[in-house]
Amino acid sequence: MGLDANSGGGMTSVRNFLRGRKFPGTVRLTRTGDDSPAKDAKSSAPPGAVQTAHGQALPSSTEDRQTRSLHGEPSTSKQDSSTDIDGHLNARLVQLDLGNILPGSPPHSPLDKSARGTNGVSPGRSGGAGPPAGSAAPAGASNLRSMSDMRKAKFKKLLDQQVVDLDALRELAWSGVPADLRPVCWQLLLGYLPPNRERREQILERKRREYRDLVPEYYDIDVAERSEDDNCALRQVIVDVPRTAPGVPFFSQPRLQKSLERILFLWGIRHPASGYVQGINDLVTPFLAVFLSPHFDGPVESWGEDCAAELPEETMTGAEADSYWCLCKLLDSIQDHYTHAQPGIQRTVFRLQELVRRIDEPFAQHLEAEGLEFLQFTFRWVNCLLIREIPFSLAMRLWDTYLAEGVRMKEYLTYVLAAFLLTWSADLKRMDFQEMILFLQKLPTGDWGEKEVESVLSRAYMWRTSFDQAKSHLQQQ
Amino acid sequence: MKIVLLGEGRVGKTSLMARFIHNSFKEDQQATIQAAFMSRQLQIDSQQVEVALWDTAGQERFHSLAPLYYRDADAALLVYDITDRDTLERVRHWVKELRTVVGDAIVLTIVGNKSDLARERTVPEQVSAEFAQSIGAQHVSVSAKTGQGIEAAVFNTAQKVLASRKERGASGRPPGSTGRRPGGIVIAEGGGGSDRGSSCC
Repeated sequence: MGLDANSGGGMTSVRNFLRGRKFPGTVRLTRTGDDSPAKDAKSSAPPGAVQTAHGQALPSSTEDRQTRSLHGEPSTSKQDSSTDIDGHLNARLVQLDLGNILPGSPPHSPLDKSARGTNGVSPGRSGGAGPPAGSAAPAGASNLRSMSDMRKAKFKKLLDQQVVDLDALRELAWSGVPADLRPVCWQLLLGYLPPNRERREQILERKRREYRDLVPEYYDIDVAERSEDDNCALRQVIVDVPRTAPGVPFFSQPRLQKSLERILFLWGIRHPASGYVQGINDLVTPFLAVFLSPHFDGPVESWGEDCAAELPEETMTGAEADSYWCLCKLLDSIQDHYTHAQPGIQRTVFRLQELVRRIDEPFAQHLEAEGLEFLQFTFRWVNCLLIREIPFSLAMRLWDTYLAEGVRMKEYLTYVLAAFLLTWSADLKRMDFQEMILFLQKLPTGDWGEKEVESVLSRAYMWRTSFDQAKSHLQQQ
Repeated sequence: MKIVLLGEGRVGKTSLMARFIHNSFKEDQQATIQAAFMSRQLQIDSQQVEVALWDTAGQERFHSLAPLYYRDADAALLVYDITDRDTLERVRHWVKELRTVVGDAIVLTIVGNKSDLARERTVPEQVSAEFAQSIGAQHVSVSAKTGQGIEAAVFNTAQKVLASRKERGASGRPPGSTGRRPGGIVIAEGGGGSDRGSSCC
């Protein structure tokens, strides 16, 4: 690729990321002359300038900046104020575009302008599958399909390996997993399924049996045989199950509700340090939906209200057991979000506040002036990993990236939350306390598509990349 | 004027608020994580009053967030479910906590929700009414489902806040001090960022 060795620091990660990839379009990578960003820990702006969601670039020196095109083509992007951050961003976005532009996808955010606006074909590797140079964004549907086919082929190739290369899978899954491959990809990413194909069936069988054995031991017993605490926990679960994902008819089926009830109750009593906490019911729904998705067509919102009634018992219990174990894996890394006083959430909110202050100081000042505390509106975001803030089907896309992040999910989440919040920075700055709190508790995400979610994930990625290099950033506490 | 709703999970705090603000009711209301905010104008004795309602999460695990919402509230609606005795116990705990932390300045109303389920009632009205009286609180029976009693519950509570402000005169919270910022979280002046942790007691 067209990058040479003198790209240091900030460019390295992007370069690594880009290595061996194919792009439709020009990727512009730019950087400032100073490659050791944010020497001054107190500096309120991140290295270079950060372009916010609304295009106000924070103060930064624009001199001494090098711009280069990955493919040596002149950039046609209109983002003349582009910075090194934009370079990271474009790289991610172009990669996202590869697999995820679908005809009729909703209007995209201003941030992916350049990714869409420059349509060149990467020479060499892409085999001419990309759209012809110069063609406008609404490329032929066949091209888009072939791009997603290519992506799917990549997944298949990885998954066909005797021992799946998990790092490669993480890389690929980060930008979204094709719906039909989600069950196996998620289970691999979470470490529920082993990478070695040969052992998978055996392990799956064992784990499902283990779960099946938990049910009669703890759940299918008389009230009198359970401790008062356990009965209390079960009552709480029973109260919450019918009001889980109320907008998705699929989860209102008695069969699904029973599965949910067992999963949540068993998780709670097997994790006594936290026990079942409201919001965990939300977190299990993507697993159930994805693991049962091979049996239904279309998006989960369109599945019938009675569709699970016909499923064989074994299918249901299999998906239930897999969901249970995957929930365990997911929550292992964030258990302190749910223990007494929820210290994990408090910490994440604190970090978020610091991060937002660094990215968008005027916004942080506005919140402070209005007396709005982060804890007041972001607690639920963290508690439910944002699942309640976006349409349900998009939660799957969010999960792809969370699970691909693996052990780094917890840290990445802070950046995702910042990117999510600052999507509306300009709007919020015009609001007073009351308007803000009303806006924030019911965000206008109803018409969001994958593009918008990916834009959030991309910004989060680029912020992390730039802040990672500023050693002092969030480690002060 | 700031009013906070407190009570055990699933007693119907969110539904009560939805009825008061939107005059609507949903059977499967999602569990509230943390809190939700709504406001409405009320006309009380020829006075326009903006009532800011904070609906809080009921599950015990979220308890540590509660002070964030009640510490500068003018009144609290303490909600229990008339078909569930334990939920009245929880109300007793809230009363204790509020009296300890906020003191007598906060107006309390005990609200028995789900009056539409009178046949399944397990909390005798007399018990809760006597309890309310013993702590100097009002007691009302309401149904978020039918809407019965809710307007009056909020209205009477707001009225009592105004009356107690008048009584208190200069020593009380100056009227309108929370008007601009209904959620007004007090930030210690000049204290800077180091006091941040204090929001979670």
